[in-house]
Amino acid sequence: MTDLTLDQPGSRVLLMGNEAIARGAIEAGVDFCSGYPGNPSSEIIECLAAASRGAGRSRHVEWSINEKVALEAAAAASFAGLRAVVTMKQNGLNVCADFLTTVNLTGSRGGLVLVVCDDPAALSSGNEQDSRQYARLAQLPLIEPATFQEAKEMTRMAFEFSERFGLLVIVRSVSRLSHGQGGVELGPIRKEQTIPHYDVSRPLLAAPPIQQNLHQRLLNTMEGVRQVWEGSPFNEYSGPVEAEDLVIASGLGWLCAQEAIRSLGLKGRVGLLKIGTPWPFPNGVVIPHLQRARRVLFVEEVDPFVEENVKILTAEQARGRDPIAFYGKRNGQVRGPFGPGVGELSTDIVVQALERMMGLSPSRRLEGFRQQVKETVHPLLIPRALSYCAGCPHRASFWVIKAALALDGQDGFVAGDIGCYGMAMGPTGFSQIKALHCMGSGYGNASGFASLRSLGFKQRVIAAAGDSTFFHAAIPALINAQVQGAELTCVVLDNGVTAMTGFQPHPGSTFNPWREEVEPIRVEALCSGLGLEVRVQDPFQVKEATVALYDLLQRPGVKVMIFRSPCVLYQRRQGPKAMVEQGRCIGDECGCARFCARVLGCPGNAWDGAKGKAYIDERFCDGCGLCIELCPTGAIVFSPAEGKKGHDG
Amino acid sequence: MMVEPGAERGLPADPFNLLITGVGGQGIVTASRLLAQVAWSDGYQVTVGETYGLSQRSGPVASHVRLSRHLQAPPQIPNGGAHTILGLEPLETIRVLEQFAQPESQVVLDPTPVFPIDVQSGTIPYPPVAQMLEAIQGLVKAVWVVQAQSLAQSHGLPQNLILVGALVGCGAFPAPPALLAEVIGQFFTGQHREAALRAYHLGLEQV
Repeated sequence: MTDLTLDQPGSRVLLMGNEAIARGAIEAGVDFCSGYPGNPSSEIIECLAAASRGAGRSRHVEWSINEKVALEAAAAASFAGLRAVVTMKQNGLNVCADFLTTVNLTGSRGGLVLVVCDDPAALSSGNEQDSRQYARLAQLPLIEPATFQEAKEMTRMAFEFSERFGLLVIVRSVSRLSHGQGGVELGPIRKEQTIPHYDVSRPLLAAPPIQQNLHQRLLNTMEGVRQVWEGSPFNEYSGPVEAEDLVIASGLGWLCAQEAIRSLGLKGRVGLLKIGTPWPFPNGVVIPHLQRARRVLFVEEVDPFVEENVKILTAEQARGRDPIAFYGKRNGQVRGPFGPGVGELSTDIVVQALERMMGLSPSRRLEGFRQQVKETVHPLLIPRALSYCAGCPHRASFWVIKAALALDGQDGFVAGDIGCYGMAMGPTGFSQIKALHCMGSGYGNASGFASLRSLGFKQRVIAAAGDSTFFHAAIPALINAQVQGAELTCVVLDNGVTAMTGFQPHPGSTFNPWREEVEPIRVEALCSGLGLEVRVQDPFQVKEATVALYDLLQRPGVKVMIFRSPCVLYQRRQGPKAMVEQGRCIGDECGCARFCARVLGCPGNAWDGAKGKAYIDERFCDGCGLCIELCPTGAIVFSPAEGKKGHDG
Repeated sequence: MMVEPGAERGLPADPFNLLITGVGGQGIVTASRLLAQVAWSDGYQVTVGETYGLSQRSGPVASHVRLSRHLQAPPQIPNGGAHTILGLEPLETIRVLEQFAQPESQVVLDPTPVFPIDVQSGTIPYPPVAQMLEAIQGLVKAVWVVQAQSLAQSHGLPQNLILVGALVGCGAFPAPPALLAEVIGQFFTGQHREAALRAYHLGLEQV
C-alpha cells in the first residue's frame, strides 16, 4: 500500500482512485473516518486505517456495523466540530437514507463528507444505481471527480465546502475511478486539530414542528451553493467558442468523451463541457452554451441526471431561440449493448453517439477482423464459472443444508444474503439459495415466509446470513421473527471475517483494522440473550451437522444454527491434503456420476478423463476433508504426510 | 540511468494500450501495478483499469494499462485497441480477442491451462491448446509463447514475473529492461524481491 502520509507537496505519484480519495481526506486533516465494506469503496477506509497509526495526527478510523451507523457516528464527530468522512458503495446510501434525509435539515458543523462509490454495470453489486439522485432527493451538494487528481482535490475541498455551507457534502466516484490508477500531484497536509465539543446550546433537532423552517433554510442555502458551483473550476469548457455541437460530460465519462472526440478528429468542431458539480445544478455554466448549441450529446453514468437537468433548463430558457436536438439516454441515442441507461460507459459508446450526432459513417476498420476472430475463437470458448475456494466452509455448510432439507422432505429452501456464501444461488452451493436481495433481506424475507403458515404456506424456509451481514442488518429481522411467533431456523455462516470485500473485521472478528487481537462479540451470546435456541457447529463434521440441523428444523419457534469455520483465503489449513485411492475409486459408476468432481465441485477435486478416475489437484486442495467424508465409496483419504498426525475421518 | 526517459522517446501509439488477462489469483493485479509504476517512473502519464474481488473466486481477471506522453486516458481500452496482450492463461487470452485485439496486436502468453471448474469436474472438455495457439497466431501480427508456469514450478519462482520479463524482453511493452529491474527492486521486499528479480531475468532470457 502506498504511503499516503507523505509530506511532500508537489510530488507526483501514481495512485488508485480510492487512494487519491483517502489522500484528499488526509490533506484536509480528517479526524474521524467510518464506513462499511462495499466494492468499490472498501480501500478508502483501509488506507485511512493504515495512515492513522504512528507519529503525527491522531485520528479515529472504524469499520462500522453498517452504513447507517457509520454515517450517524461520523455526523456526531462533525457535530462536535471535527472533520469526518464516511465511505460506502451505492447500496450503503440506501441503508443510511433515513439519516441522510434528516441531517440535511439539521446541518453539520465540522466538515462532513460522504464518499459514495457507485458500481455501474453492477460488476460486484446487486444493482446499478446512480447515487446522484440522492443529492436531489436530500437536497445536498454533490461533486463528481472526472480524473484521479480531481478525486483527491474534490475530497479535500469537500470538507471546506461543508464547513462553508453547514451541510454534508457528497463526493461521488465510480468503480473505474475508484479501482483504476492515474497520476496525482500531492498537496500540503493540514496539521491543525480541534478538541471535539458538542455545543448543546444549539442542539441539532429534526423534529416537528420545526422542519418547515429548516426545509426553507436548506433550500435557501442550496441556492447559495448553486452560485458557488457556477464559479467553480471543476466545471470546465474546452473547444471552439460558441460551438453548435456540444458534448456535456460528467464524471469519468469526460475522459471517454475526450478520447472519442480525438479519435474522430472532431476537436476543432465539437465543444466539450465538463460538469464537476452536478448538484445543485450549475445553471449559469450551461445556459450560455445552450444559446448557441444546435445538437447536444450527454455522457454520464448511470442515469440521465445531467441530461434531465439540462432539458429542464432548456425548456425554461426556450422563449425566442431555435430548438436543440438532444442526444442522450432518454431518446436512446447514447446506449450500450444492453440499451440506454443500462451497463457502464465506454469510449466506444461515446464514439457511436458522436457519429450519429455529427452524421459520420461508423468506422468499419476492424469489421472483417472481428468476424474472423468470431469464427476462429467462438468454437473454442468455454465459460469460466465462479466457485467457492477449495476448503471453503460454505461448501460444507450448504451441503449440510441441502442434506437436512432433503431429509426434512418439506420442499425447503433458503432465503439468503450478500457475501461469498451468496454464490449458493448457483451450483457451487448446490443452488440452495432461492431468494437474494440486499443486506439482511435473507432474514427479513424468511421472517415473512415463516409467518405465512397460518395462511396455508407449506414450505420449510431457512434464513441464511454471513457473520458480517448478521451484525449489519439481520438482527432486527431475527427479533421480528421471534415477536411474530414464527417457526424459523436461521443459519449464520461464521467464517470470522467480511470475506468477499477483502477480509475486513466486523464485530464478531477476533482482530481490528490494524490486525491486532480483540475480543469478538459472539453471535451465540446475542441469540441466547434473546432467549433463542442456538447451536455452534463445525460444518465439516458433516454427519453430526446434518443431524443437528435436521433436529433444529423439527423444533418450534426461532432457532439459530451457527456454522463456524474460518475463511480459507484468510487462514489456510496447515495439515495433510486429500488423495484418491485409485484402486477404490469407481469413477463414473459411483452412483452420482463423479460425485466429488461434478457434484461437490471443489477446485481440488479433479477428473482424469483418460483413466476414468478422480484425483486431487494438490495445487488447490486445502485438506478440509469434505470430499473424504462424502465420497460414496470412501475412496478419498488424507495423504500420509511426514511428521503430521493422520486423521481418522 | 543511461537510457533517456520514456516521455521523450515517444510510443508506438499514443495512448499505448496493454491488456493483461488470466484467472483470479495468478498475480495479474500485481503485474499491472508493477508495469504501471515502471511506465510512470519512465515519465509517461498512466491510467490503469482493474476489475477484482468477485473474480478471485476462480473467475477471469483483466487489467488495462494505458500509457501516454501527454494525456490521461480513460481506464478502459476501447474496442480493438489493445496494442499488446499479455495472457497468463490461454483460454482467457482467446476470450479477450474479439473485443480488444487488432491485426497489429502483439501477444505474449503462457500456454498452460488453468481448468475452469466445469473442466476440472469432467463435465466439459478444455479446448485443445494447440488449436488456441493456432487461432491466435492466425489472427495477430506477433505471438510469443512462454512456458512460464513450468519454469515457475521447476525454479520455485512466480509465474507472473517471468511473463513480465518475457514481455519486456521481446519489446512488446515500451520499457527499458534495466528500469524494470530497478522498479521491481523498489516494489518488493525481502525474499520476495530476490525471487521477483530472478523470475524477471529468467523471463528476459526466454525471448
